[in-house]
Amino acid sequence: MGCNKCGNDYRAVSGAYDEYFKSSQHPHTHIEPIVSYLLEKDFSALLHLQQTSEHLFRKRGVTFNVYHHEDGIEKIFPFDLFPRIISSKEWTVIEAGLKQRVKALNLFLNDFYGPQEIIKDRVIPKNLILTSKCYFTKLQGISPPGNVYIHIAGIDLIRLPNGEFCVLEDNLRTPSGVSYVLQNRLMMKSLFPDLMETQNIKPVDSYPLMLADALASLSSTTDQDLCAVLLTPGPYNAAYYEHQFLAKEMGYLLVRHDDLDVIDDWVYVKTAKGRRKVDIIYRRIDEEYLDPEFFRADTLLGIPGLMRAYRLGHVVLANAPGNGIADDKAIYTFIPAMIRYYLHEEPILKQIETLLCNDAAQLDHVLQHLDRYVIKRVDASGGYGMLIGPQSTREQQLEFARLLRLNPRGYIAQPLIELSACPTLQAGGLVGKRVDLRPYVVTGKSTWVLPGGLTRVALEENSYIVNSSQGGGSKDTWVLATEGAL
Amino acid sequence: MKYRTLYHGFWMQRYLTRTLMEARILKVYQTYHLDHPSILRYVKEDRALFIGNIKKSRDNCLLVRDMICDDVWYQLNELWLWASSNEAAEVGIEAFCDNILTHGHLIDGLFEDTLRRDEFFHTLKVGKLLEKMMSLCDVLLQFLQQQDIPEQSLIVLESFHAKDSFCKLYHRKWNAQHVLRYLIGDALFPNSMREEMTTLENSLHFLGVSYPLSLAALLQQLDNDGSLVNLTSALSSVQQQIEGLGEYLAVEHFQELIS
Repeated sequence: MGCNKCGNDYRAVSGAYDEYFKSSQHPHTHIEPIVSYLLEKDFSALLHLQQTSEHLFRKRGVTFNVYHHEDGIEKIFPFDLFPRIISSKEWTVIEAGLKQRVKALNLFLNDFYGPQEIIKDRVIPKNLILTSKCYFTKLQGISPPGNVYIHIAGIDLIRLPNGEFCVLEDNLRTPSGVSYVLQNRLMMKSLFPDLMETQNIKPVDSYPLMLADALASLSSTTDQDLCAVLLTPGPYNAAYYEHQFLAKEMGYLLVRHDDLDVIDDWVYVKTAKGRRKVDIIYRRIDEEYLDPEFFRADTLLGIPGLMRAYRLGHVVLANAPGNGIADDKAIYTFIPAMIRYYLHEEPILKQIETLLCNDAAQLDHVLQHLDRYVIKRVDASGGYGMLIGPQSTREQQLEFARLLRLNPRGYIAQPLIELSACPTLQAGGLVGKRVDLRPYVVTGKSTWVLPGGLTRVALEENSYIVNSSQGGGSKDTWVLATEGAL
Repeated sequence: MKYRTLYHGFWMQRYLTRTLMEARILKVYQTYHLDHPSILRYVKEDRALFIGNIKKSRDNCLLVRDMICDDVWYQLNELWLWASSNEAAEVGIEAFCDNILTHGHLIDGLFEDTLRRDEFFHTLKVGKLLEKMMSLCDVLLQFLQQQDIPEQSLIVLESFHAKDSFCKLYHRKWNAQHVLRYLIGDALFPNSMREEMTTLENSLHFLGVSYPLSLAALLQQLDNDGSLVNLTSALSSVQQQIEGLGEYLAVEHFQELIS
């Protein structure tokens, strides 16, 4: 191998599956030509390219908003040049597993807000589901157009030390990050045009149109008259860049709550040519803020009457309100059972063993071994509200013990899994950093999975946290259409 | 198209044009070493003011980014990143203004080339013309107060990109009367007040905005009065019309539509 160049002195993560190397100095067979190409590059040239990418992201305004940050509000999502590469064979399994999972989750939501057979059949404990903070009783009996609840799912996967992919969590409400997938690919095309040309990598740029088509397929309006909007909380939202990007790419109007109103149970957008009836709302606002008449009365971001229009099938809301019940981390435990129950199939993708803290015996076990587990709030995201036991202090453990006793239903525990690692360019050399993968699953009349997804990297030393708000970065994710030669 | 989009587009263009006009005037001032204290009241080497206006333009641009081509955003964002950088703080004022003008002209060209001639385009046009006409009124009024200083003919011409055009007509034999007539009343020069007023009226008509504007008194005065002294009140009246229109659009028109 050409490790005398940038690959020289590569520091892998001990005990983790390495995304590039099957053993010291020996790359996985399917990516050998790509690894050779990258590692033959001069280290300083790569560092220069890295700086170029930062400059270009900043110039293009590919940012996310972080408050109280020393560099200002707008921050770029750190990008690493070394792509994460997935073979076509691996992807075939992932894709099938994701479709299976989302199909089962969608059937679950239809069942849960309908006849609740799964509860009657005691596949999921009634008390667990009805005590979810994400459960809104008012949604009972409301069916979304086409019976699709989960139009966009971001399913977080990790790769175990044995190389197998498994599901870490499901994001079924307003999953974000897809704009970085598209921007990362554009960046790689700019920085490594010769490499990109010679590799048969599955494209990602059709995502906005695939999503727009999927949502249009659920609307009762014909394409010619269709009016679709992307509802954003506004420019101060962390993901505002993404909202703009997707609105533009999908051909949607970007709107805020006060651009919309509801008249006679139909939703309208105020335009310079008068009011126009809205058929589809791609919402990037949490459901509890959507409509003060239906959810929280104190919301300042809501559209009064929106849920009346939705109930009557006058507008498609993506994602449908009510999905939170299915991505509650306590419910996650029962997803394999859901797959068996609804589809009569074995789950294709495995998931992490999870302890439910509302079970007295399991809580007791967790409390005695807080230093072994990762404790997560069932309704949190972004890497917040969690304790990584093996890396925590005694004080942090005591604080979490108090929280667990106070609200056991609000937490789950999982063993700390060694995430796979991918070579990442750092000032001191090439270093293995832990990664996860968020593929995006789009559902309309049919289901489609964006090839690859967002690979997030834990850039901090020894960190397991990949979230952008907590020092994480990202990489381009390549799904090889064929295991090709350079 | 949402009203909010029009509103933010309007202010994006106004702050951008304001920045460009001030950079242009300041650059001319610097280039010709025109140091008469009263020559232009707003010629200040206040970079914070420039950066503030660029930021306001960019902040508004951020809110209409889904409506414009990426290159416009890149140029404006890059200008802001540069203007607020240490590198910009260290260059001379002329180079500082030059960079603003380079980006600004690119953005202007991109708008002309890439926008559909719809409400958004005409709103931007109105924002731009308002600022340009305000700036021209300011400069001309200053000029009228100091008409015995010949260099001021030059600065007025340079500031509005009129020198070359003017000289083709008048063979470099400028005088105050010629300069004023040209910049106010020439029917073929795009930066003349008459041309801008016509374009402004067209855009307002497209947007369905009815607001009384007229140059008639000023033009008549210009034809009648060779001494130029009595032009001041007619020009002030035009200035009031333009400022009134700016206030009406910003305070009443867009707010009313949004609410």
